[in-house]
Amino acid sequence: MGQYLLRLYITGKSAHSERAIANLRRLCAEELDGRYDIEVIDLLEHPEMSASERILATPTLIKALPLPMRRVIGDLSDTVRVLHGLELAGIEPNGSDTGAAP
Amino acid sequence: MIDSQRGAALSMRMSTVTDGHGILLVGENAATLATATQVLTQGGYAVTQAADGEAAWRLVREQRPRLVLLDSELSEPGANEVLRRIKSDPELAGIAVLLSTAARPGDLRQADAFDAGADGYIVTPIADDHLLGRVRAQLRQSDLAYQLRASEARFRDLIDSQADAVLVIDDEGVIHFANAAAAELFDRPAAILVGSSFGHPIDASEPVELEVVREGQVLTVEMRVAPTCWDDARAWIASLRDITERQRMNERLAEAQRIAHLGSWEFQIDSGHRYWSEETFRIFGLTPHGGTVSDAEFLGRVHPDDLAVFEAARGRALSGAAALDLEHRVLRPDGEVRWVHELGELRGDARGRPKAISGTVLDITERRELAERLQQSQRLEAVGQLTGGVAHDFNNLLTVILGNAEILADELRPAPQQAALAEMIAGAAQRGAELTQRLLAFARKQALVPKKVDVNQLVVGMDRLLRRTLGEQIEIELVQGGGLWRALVDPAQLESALLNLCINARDAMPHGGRLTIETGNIRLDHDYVEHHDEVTAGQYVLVAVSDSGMGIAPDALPRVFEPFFTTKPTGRGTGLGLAMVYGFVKQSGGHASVYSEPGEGTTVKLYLPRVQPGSEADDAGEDSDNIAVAGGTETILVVEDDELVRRFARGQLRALGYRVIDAQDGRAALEILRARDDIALLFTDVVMPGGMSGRQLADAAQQLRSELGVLYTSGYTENAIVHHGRLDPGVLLLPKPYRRADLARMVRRALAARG
Repeated sequence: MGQYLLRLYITGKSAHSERAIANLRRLCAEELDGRYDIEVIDLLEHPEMSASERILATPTLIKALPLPMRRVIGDLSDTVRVLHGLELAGIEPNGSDTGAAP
Repeated sequence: MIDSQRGAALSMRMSTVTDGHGILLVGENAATLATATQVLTQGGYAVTQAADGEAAWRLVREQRPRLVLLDSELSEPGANEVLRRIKSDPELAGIAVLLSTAARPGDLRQADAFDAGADGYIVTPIADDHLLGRVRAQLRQSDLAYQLRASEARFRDLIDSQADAVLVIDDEGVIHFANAAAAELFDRPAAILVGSSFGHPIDASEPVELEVVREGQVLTVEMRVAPTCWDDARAWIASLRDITERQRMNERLAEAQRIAHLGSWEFQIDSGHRYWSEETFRIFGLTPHGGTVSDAEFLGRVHPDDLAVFEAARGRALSGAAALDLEHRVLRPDGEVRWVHELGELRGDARGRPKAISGTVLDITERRELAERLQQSQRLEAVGQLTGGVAHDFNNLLTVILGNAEILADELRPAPQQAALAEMIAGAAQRGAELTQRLLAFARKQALVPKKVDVNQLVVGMDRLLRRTLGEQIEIELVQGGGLWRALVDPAQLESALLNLCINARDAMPHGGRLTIETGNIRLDHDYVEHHDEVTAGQYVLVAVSDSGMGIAPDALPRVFEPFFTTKPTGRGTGLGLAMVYGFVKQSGGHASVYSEPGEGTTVKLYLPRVQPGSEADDAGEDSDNIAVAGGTETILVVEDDELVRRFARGQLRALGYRVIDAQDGRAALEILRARDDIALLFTDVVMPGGMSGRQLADAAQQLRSELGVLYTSGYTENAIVHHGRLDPGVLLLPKPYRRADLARMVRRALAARG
């Protein structure tokens, strides 16, 4: 399995932006075993990105690699649903156990 | 507005069908039309006829029939053209069109007719009941189609009239539907939103906050997500509410609370939960977390000593007996103690049952500290006034006791045993006089003679005295500041104050230790002044006396300057030492402070006013202290309201050889002065009843007799002769009580100073 490339779009340093960043880092650390790159893009600093990626609202997380490209929206607090939304749930042989403590 | 327009449009569409004129028959064969008309009229329908295409088209638009039965064999415009016109006009939607044809089904023109939008066909000739059946079936089907369209239109109107933006999103995050509010929220037409990628919405039980980025604007929205089905596939309905304004108001409220140090809270009676604003969390020293706090968590932050009072006040509030109005302490997790003022009111539900207490909490720590300091300085002032008044009267008594004891001792010289008794009386009175002197010092009512003083030199001069007083177990260190400014202060009183501080330091170090006397220049800034009462910002000469003793307990520290307050064992201290030092420094226009760490030691700092460079503060004169005790033969007018003191003064002066005349108040004295011209000196008390003070008497007397000498005496120096605690230039004052030698010396000085 190749490298995951995850782009998180946020707007400024709002509380839910911060929460989304923290949730993403935690999720990647727990689920993706070091095979990931995270890019955080603040649309206040890069307004042009909003148009090029057609971002309607933030926080938006885009799984750019591997294809197919998938995006989810929200503060990413629900790990299981985020994995489902990114179509990453399949990386664990037993999807329903994803996120459960051993 | 928009909604009512939509409603009007909807009811108009409805009317095209239900209120229309029944059935329009179109055909060129009159007999066929007549037969059909008869059948349908009998079937209960209103029937109109048209003989050609143009007439049919006109009647359709005029009458809006529910159904058109159109003969396919029309000449121009043919049946297909009429059909096309009807079906392509949205205004005429809902009108059913049946084609009648003599040909068999499957005929190519019939297929054309269906393509053009015909709803069905009948093959002629047709039996009467078949015709009626076909028409009924077609009308029922049209009604169903209409109702379906109307229903969909109603739901679309409902969704579009929503203030919340509504999106339908498929499992891959692509938008399939967007309502009018969504188009407005995202600032792009719904047609463009549909097909765009929004993102897979995480369907959480709690609403999720998002930002919507628009041209130059960031909106905060709250998104709720529910699963649905769209085109037979799993999808999500997301509704997004613009909460930007709500959030801005919350931010403004939080900002106002933060600035005012005023938090708000609500206590839910049933659940025992408290809802706290962010500022309330900060006041209690907690990190804000989600707004709710358990009652136990809150009670843990109420200072344990105030818990019972708080619970009682809350009990009264819960029972409706009284609104909550209480000041109590808060113990923050880091141990800091703050004072808060809580106000709260009971709120009921719709049936009036108590439901919650809503309230505010205000941090009043700074305000209380200020009030306490004010109270402290007011208490010191009140005690000072009381002390000053008592000391004044006491001085008069001591003057008599001391003076007469000295006379007795003199006269009893031949009987040494009795003379010793008289000397004991004099000694005790002298000690009493020293005590009242200290009281006056504390009350800021002693006569000070400020001079330019080099404090370093003064401290060095005290070195031997200190070593003798403190003993060998205490090491003395002098740390002298370089370039020390000169202080404007009474040097004798400063010595006395320093000696006092050193004795306190010695008593704090019973097993020996180190005493440090430090001098330096210091500037007290406005910040310091704001936190200390009765201090003005400016330049001061600092003398600090530190010991390595046991220190002072924190709760005793604020009271150490109060008179009669002592931490020493009973009988060891009068409680006047520091009070006197404090009064002296304050009267001199300076400031005193104490720092102490229990177990480490104590530092007392005296801030003495700096001599302003170039000022003419007096350090001349005062050199005639060595005039020998001598009497004279001049005539002296003694003015004194206290008869005991008057008799005593008269006796003393006569013993010194003077001629003495006395008066008990200012008016009597002036009469004597007018009557006689042999009076050389006016010796007057300062404070006297009868409307004329010693100062006023002296002024009046010197107008009569400019060469008259004046000597004041007082147990209590008032503003009449002492401005801000300093003698007026040229004024001579003999403080009560006085020894005969002092009296003799001052009388001679006053006589020598005559104009």
